[in-house]
Amino acid sequence: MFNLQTQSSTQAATLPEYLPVQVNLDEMITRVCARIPPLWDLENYVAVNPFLGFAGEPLIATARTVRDGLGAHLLPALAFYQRRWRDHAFNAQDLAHAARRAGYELAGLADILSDATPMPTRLADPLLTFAERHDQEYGTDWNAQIVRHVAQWCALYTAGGSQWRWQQSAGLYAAWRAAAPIDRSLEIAGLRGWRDWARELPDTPEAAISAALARLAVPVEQQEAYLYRALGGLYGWASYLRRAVWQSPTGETGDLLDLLAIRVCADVAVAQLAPRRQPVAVPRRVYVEDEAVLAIFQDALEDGYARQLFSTLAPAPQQGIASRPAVQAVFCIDVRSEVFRRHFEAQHAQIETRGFAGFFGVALDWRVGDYGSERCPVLLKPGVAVQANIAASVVPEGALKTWQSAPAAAFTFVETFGLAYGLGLLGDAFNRTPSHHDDGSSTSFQLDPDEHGSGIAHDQRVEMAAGILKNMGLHDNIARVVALVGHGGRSTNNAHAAGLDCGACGGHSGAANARVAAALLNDRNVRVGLNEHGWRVPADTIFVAGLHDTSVDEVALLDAASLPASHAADLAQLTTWLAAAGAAARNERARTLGVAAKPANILHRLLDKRARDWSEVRPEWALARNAAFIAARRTRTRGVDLAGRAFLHEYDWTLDDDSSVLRLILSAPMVVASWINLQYFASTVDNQVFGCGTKALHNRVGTLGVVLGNGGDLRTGLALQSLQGEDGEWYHEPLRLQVVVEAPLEKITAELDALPQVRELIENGWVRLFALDPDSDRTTRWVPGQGWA
Amino acid sequence: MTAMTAGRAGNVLLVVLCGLCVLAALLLLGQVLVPVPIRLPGITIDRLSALMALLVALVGATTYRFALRYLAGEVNQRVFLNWLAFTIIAALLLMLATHLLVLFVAWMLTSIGLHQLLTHYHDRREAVAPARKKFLISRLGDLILVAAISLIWVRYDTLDIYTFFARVAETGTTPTSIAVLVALAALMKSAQFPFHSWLPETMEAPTPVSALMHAGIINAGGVLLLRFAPLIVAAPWALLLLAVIGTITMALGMLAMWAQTDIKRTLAWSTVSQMGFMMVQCGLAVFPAAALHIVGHGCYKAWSFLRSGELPAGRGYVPQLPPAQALGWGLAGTLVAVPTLAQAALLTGFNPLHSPGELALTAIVALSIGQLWVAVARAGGKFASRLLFSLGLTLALSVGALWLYHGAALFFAPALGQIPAPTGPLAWVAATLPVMVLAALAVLHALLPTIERSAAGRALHVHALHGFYLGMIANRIVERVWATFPSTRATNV
Repeated sequence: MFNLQTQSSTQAATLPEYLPVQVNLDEMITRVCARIPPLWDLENYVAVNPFLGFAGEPLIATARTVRDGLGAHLLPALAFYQRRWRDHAFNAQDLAHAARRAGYELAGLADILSDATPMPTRLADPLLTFAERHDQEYGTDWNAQIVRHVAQWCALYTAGGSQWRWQQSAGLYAAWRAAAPIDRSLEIAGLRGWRDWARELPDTPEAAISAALARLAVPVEQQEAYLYRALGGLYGWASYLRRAVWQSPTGETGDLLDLLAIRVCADVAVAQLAPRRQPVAVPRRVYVEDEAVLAIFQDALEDGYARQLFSTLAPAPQQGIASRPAVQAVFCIDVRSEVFRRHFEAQHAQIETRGFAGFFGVALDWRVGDYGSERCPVLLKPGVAVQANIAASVVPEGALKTWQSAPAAAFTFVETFGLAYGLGLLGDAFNRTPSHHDDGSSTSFQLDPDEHGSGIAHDQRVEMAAGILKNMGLHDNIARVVALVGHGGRSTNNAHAAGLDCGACGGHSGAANARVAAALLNDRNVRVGLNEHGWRVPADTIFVAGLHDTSVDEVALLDAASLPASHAADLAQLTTWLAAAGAAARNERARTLGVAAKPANILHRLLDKRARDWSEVRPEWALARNAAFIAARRTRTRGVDLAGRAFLHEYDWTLDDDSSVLRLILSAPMVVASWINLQYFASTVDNQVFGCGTKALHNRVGTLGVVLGNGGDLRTGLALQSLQGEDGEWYHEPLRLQVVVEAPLEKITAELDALPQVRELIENGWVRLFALDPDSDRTTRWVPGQGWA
Repeated sequence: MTAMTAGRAGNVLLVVLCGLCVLAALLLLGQVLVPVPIRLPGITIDRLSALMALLVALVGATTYRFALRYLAGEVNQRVFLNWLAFTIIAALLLMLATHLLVLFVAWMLTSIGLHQLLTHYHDRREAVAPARKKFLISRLGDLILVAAISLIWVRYDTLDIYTFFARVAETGTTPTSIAVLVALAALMKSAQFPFHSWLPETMEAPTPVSALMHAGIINAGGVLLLRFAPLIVAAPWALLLLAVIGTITMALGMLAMWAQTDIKRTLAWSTVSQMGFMMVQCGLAVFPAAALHIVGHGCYKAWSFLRSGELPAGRGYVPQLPPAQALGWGLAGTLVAVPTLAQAALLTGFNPLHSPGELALTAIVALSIGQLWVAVARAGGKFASRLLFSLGLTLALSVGALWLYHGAALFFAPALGQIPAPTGPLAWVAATLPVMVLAALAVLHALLPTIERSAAGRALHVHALHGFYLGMIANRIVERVWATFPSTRATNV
């Protein structure tokens, strides 16, 4: 159905320890660019592993590289571990085991945590840009000014003005080169002669970089570090440009190369044009906490979590529901589903739930009018297009928007329409403004193929349906009612609303995917086709789509009116159970949001109000506190309180003879989960670099992304408010993903051998892998470099 | 728990602000029913001040309500909310003041409160520089206002604005120097060229501050002019000054707005442009229209800032028309607008030929209708449906706009008194200038898609993006000035 091997992960080549003297500039630039992760726009804002370009390198080495290169922290500072140590989040035994694996002496470590021994440090080796050194020396702020200049240029070139777009398309560098001699801003700021200087810029970005390196006399062995640092100062824009080429098999750099060229040229401008341009002294020596030691603490802390996690898993394999379940519900693997599933199953012993990526195997291009959105994991391309039926708008779309910023009209507009906005203000203040966010949960759609390439043909339907059933593990004992529950967040006035939606649906609500999947599986002809292919889907089984509103913890059944009347009683029962589960889940969630315990109906209204409140910066916690990924039979986790911290993927190894399902899980959902996990991790540890700061200062650049305040670099990652509580404490705890797979060791090992990129993630310490023995409660750890231990 | 929520005090202040909202609404209702101004010590309640007070109170209470949740968990939320309420109440007083001492004190208090809000993130280097620039410009404005007040005190021996007007009427000659000083103070307070550049640079303050500033506080200059309308209207040079500076600011703001890439700066430059137009209206002596503009713009801008997180629905960017088509539709629309507006004038009772100012106002509506035709054509669809849609809207807008202008004149008459329409040659210059500039801008707007084929067009785009560098030049000057002050003041004011 979908195969990720050719598309997943990154092609970053491992760096040689020492660079040869005659290094090829092009290769070097390609390597530098490959270290920058891609960034999606706000309408498709999915989580990205900020260290995607380092998957092939060990975590500790990467921590050093980003510390020196970006001035960023990959691991939390010692103070964090000391606090967790005092909280008893991990104990001496955890520390001993972690130290032994790292080959470190224990006594010293415990003393460091209790402040008895100083933390070992290492000499940082940052390679500063010329402007940074100039600033250090003279107290100027040239580096910041350059960054603003280049960022502004990127914004102009990629987003353009509200009414005025930059029309040239010869490439970012060429456009800048043409405009730089016009731009007087840096000249006024003090770079005398900027315009004359800009007229002499080299023709191509390659030549510009090469000339800049020569002009700044960067030694050959430091060039790569210099270029990385230069790009790091514009991490957000670099990431945005990277996205266009991130899947390029040939390592194309696209506009990223142009950005790099502009950035280093501007650095040269400071060197040549700043009023004081004496040779600048060597940067001060800085000692930083040794990342190797921090990594041991991190390991020990995670052992503490894993120990507690494993102790809760069901000790011995249990029998599933022997008789036919009353209902089977498939939820997204998202950590938010765990809470709901737990409360849902608690309603009745005959309820069975499963975890699967929330796009349900339907890689969808959802078309509304002439506007399509890709609703599938970003590692995939949409496989099918489906057209939503919408009535053509009577009012010319966008006319008012254009009119209100046109000359003369702008003034007449506020005088004639302005007062109506006073009512708008009141509506907002009382949370009365209806949301016009179309999540695809109600518009009807066309499944039959049409001339525009949307719709799904019969053969493809059967094939897709079979794939969905196989991957969800729905073989025997299929219930009368099978619910496919997608999820979506609900918030208003939230630039990062897509971050609350389903990542597996490309940052959109999962409603459309669930509805299409259910429609496929209910299709009479498909059912006939499935039976011909050996599937045993009972004739009385119906599939019903649902949408889990994660901001209010409410599951609504979709398209239920089109289902046969024979199942009305079953659906009514299901609705009752879902409502009860929702109330229980809300109760649990409300505590974490700082909402005091309230009667169920009041709590529901309160959370609903929050979701509609245009000033609410914490409508829900989304995936904060995520820490584990468990691929196992639900019987191992049923009834266990995992506190909404675990991704749960259904996996029954006994039904997976050829390991194809395991391979899929490890190469797609597990990788996506690790992206989410590392995004939360990095945004928490160093929000300055990997996060997007406070929402109070967010300033949207179209739908591209946000900048803070007056401008500057585009910001990536998560906002502070998505990670920190109202009390100022971090709500998210930076733990790497603890991947637990219930399968025999040999079976997992075989798949690791087949999936070098997954193995790389594990070996380099980006996720931690554990095998859960199918017949006992024994867990076995994969130790990087050593294998199962 | 202390930092968890804004706490009880925060809610008490919200209740106070809502109470002020209700009070302002009741006062306005009272004035609507019985249009007799109520003179209290230092303040006057009439239709103008009650409406402005309601605007400030409504925007203020809404921004305060917004900040309660939006800034939850911010380190200094408590302090921020207190300063926010302080600033709102000071601005409210400013809208009501008719005693010059009260007016000046409220003026200063608003400015001080705003400075605290603008430097909320005082550790952000970017937040401090524009705030300083704003601070210096405000003090310069204060000096000019103090000069005007001193002159009034010395020459007319009063600080009450109505006593002052009465004494001016007795003498029979208009003190042009005072009128010009008041106009200058208003220009500086309402971010007019060349003192506008701090406004688009204050995005380093939290969103609610932008909303309050752009919707409420920035109107202080306009309200000052409305209060002094009887004086200003008799000073042709003051009117011309307002019209010229207003026109420059309006054009500058609009060009810069088109080029901005982010939402908040687009909105901020739009405010610059809108305030410029409001000043033009004052310069044209169509004060009721200026008051209408202030209220409409205030509501729109507050709403826009507070909603700036929302992604635009649908496809967002609408492709531009080729210049020839845009010019054609625009011209057709403007031409159709002329007879329509003439009919609308008969229908509504608004007389465009009453004064140069009112004629200019009507001409600008005609240009707007031209733009409406362009906008509808740009949105696409069948030719016939576009035409039909445009014609319908033309009719609606002509009647609507003139009805509103006429209504505003009737509504504000009890507050503004009888304002004679200036008709001299200077008035004709003041009226012609903004219309010509707007027509030129309309042509330029149509040319935008291809303008970059010429070097001059590219240059215009780059310069507009930087706001024609006026902010940067001002920054360099501020750096020098500020450097001469002791650094303790620099960090703390």
